[in-house]
Amino acid sequence: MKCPGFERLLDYLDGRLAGEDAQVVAAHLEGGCKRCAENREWLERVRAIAASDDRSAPPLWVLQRARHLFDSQTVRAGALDRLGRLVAALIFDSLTPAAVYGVRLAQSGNRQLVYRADLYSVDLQIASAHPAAANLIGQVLRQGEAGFQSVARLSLELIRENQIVGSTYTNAVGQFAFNGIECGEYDLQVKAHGATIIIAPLPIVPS
Amino acid sequence: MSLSAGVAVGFMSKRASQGKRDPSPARNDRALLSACLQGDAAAWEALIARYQRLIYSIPIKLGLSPNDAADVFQSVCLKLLEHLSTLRNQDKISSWLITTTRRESWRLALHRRREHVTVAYESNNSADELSRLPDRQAPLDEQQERSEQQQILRQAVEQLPERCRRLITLLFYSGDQLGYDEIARQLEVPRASMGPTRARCLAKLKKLLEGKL
Repeated sequence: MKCPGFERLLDYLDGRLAGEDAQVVAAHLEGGCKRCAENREWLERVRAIAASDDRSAPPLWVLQRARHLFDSQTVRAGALDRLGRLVAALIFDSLTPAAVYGVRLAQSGNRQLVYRADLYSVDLQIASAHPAAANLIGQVLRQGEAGFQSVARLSLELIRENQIVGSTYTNAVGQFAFNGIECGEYDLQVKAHGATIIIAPLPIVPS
Repeated sequence: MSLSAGVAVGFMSKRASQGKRDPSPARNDRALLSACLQGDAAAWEALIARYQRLIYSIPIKLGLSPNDAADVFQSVCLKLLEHLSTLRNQDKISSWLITTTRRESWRLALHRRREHVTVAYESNNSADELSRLPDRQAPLDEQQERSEQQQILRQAVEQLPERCRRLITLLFYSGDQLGYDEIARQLEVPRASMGPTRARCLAKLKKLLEGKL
C-alpha cells in the first residue's frame, strides 16, 4: 500500500483524520511500513522531549551580568597574569540589579560584593560607620576546601592612590575587617600562597 | 560571614520567560569557543544564550532560590570563561556545563546550610550533607541524558527559519494544547496552510536532528 505521506501521517497521529481516511492510514501502519513507523516514533520522541522541557530562562539581568564577565576577564586577565597577580572578577553586586534592572533587591542596607579569582572567592560587605566612613568586612574562601587551611592568616592590604592605608590578616576562618574607612576608591590586595589577588577598583561608599 | 543574596522581585514563570534567543544558532560550540578566545564578545553572548536554560534550571530543580540560581549561573559562566581554551576542541559543551553547574549548585547549597547552623556545629562530612540534597535522590545519568536531549532539540528549533521556529515553539513549547485556529491567528497565516506548513517545518526539524537524538 502506498505511503500516506508525512503530512497525512501527522494528521492521523494528531487525530485530525476521521472515518475512512483514518482507517486507511491505520491499516497502512499496521501493515508494517518501516518508514512511517520511524516517522511516528520520531515524532513521539520529539514531543516527549519537548513536553519534559520545563526549563525556565533566567531573568534578563542575569544574562546581562554574565555577558559583562567577558569584557572584564578578557581585557584584564592576560597582562596581570604575567605579573603573578590575579585580578578578581566581580560576580555579584547587590546594588547592580536593583539599581539597573529593578529586579533584585538586597535584604539589608549593606552593599554586598562577591569576587572570584581562580580558586578563591572574596565575599565583601560594606556597612556604614558614620556619614563619611564605612566598615569593610569580608571573608576569603577557597573552592573545594572543606576547612579553612588555605584562607587563614592571609595578609591583606587596602590601598588608596598607591599608598597602603590599612593592613590586616584573615582570622582562622578567612574573615577580616577594616573599620572606619574614609569613603573613596580603593584597591584591596590579598596575598594568598604565592599569588596576590587584586580587587580593584573597590568603591567604599556608605549605604 | 553571611552574604545573604536578597530576594527576587518579578521573577517570571517558567513558560512565560522566553529568555534571549541564540543569535548564532547555526554555529557549533567549537566555533563559538574559538571565537570567544579571539575576543569575540558576540560569540560569548551566543554561548550564554544557547545554554541559559540548561544552566539556570539545574539549581532551580535542586531547590535553590532564584537568587541563588542567579549566582550559580554567574559562577558557571565565569568557570566557562576560565576554561575556554581547554574546552575549545569540544563540539558541544552541555555535559561539562551540566556537571559544573551541579557542583556549583551543591557547593552553594552547602554554604547556605552552613549559614544556618550554630557556631558550635562542626561538619566534617560533606558527602553526607550532599546526600540530603533533593537531586541526589534521582538517577543522574538519566537526568543528564534528558537535559542533553532537551538542549539538542531546542538548538535545532532555534536553527529553523523564523516562521517554522515560531510554529514549532507554539506546537511543542507553549504549555497549552493550542489548536490550529489559535496558532494560525498568532502566526497570522491562513488556517488552511497550517497542515502543509507544519509538515514542512517538522521535516526540516527532522533533518536538523538527524543522528542527534
